[in-house]
Amino acid sequence: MTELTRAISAESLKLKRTLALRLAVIAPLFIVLLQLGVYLARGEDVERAATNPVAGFARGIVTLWTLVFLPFWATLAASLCASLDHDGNHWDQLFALPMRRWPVYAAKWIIVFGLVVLSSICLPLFAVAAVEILKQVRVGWRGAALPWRLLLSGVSRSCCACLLLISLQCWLSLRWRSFLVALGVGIAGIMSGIILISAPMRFLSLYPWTASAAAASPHEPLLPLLWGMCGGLAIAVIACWRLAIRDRF
Amino acid sequence: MPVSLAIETRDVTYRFGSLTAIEALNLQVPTGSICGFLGPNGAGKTTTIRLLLGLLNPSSGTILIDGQLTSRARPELRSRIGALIESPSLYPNLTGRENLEVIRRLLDIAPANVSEVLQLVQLTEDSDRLVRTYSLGMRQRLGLAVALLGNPKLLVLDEPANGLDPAGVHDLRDLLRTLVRECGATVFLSSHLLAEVEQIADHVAILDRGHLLFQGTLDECQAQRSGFLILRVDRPEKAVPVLRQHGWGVDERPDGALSMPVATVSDAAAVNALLGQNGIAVHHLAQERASLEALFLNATRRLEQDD
Repeated sequence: MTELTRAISAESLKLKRTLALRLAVIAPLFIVLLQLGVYLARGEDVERAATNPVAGFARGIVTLWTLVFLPFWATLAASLCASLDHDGNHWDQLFALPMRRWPVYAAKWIIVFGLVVLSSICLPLFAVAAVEILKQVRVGWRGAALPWRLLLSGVSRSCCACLLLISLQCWLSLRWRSFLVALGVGIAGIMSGIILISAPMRFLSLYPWTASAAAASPHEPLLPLLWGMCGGLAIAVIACWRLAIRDRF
Repeated sequence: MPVSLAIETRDVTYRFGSLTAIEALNLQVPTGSICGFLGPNGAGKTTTIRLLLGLLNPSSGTILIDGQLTSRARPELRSRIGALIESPSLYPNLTGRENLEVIRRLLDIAPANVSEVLQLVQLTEDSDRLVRTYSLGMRQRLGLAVALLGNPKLLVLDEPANGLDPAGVHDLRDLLRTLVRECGATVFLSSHLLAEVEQIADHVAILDRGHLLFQGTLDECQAQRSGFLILRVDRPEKAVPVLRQHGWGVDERPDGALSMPVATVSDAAAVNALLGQNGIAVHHLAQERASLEALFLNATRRLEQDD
């Protein structure tokens, strides 16, 4: 086994019984339940306004997920995973082992991405379940088909474009012990992204906290997708290198 | 025949900006020894341990482990080292066994090693309990198990007796002695518990403000300072001026005994004779060896006076 696979294996065990692992399932469930609640409460209005209410339901979930919840969840996942080793100062113990430092950091980054992928898999599954519930409650929904293409492509593209944000948040979380630094930057980024939502698409595609929402959009998703993936990988490599050469006090 | 060294530092200096934390440190720890690493707070003990473990890069100088030049760029040499740094680094959300499993996966060693070290630190029965339910002593023992997991030839332990009750300290002492005796391991332990170090270590290194004040065997350390003569006499108020008139340094203890530094047994005989000639009856006369604490305080105070 290589150092990286050993580090990933150890890192995955550390996740056992953690809030980070639970939130990977709870976060998409929360979005779907929120949307389900809205549709159960105001179903008739939605049905009247939309030709395909299921498509509107799915679009709402994707928008909520990519614009607000995914950036927030990525921020939180990075901070929670880093805090596993910040709390109790595990770094000294880890770096005293006969292995290089960069695989330890790279494994952390991969695990955070893995948690985001897990959430992105759970989201469509929960959405399908919610649609099934709504079909039982609303007669008008019974014939409508779930827009799988919109849901799956939107969620998967946003997940990949989120790499840039994950890399930045992992760097901040691993560099500073305080939970507040990474979380503060993340929340500021998300809030400014929401405020700037009417900015030109090019800006939204390049801004790390809105790139995932831009990638989920059916219009010009390539730029945010490539920028998020390539930028994310580049930042991850730089972060691992910078963190690995640092002296630890 | 040259002594084989488990740890050797050659003129190691470490600077934090303008502050020199360690200066020209030439530490030598013989293989198979238990070396107590002593020093007051801020002496540079933890910095030295971090340098040995590659957590810090020295500003200058070289570090050799088992005669091989080590650096952060050569982590494979650290496979011979097991470390317990300050408080044990454990994941409270995992069981004792899972904590060891994390390190085992990183080290890529056989799963059987986990059960072996659990047995060694007597945690087998509690190994499937979450670490957050462990007592301080159990955590300390699990931390030691983590350090022992890769069958290291060199154990670097920072305050290993922290949080252990007297029975735990006794067990730790036995365990470390067994490791040295049966596995040929070398133990390098920093501690503030000077009496504890005195009971377990055969070598001592004393550090203060980044300077190595002493290193050698415990006997050599004690030979650096003569013992004390403890006297109980019928008339201490007369005995003190008599002894001082004859050039002896003497202190009165709160319990009424007199304490004076002497070099040899013949000095003790001379003091006894002198007091007898002056009509002072001696009830009690005993020679005490200087404790490690006295030696430690003496060494660190001497440096302060030199400043």
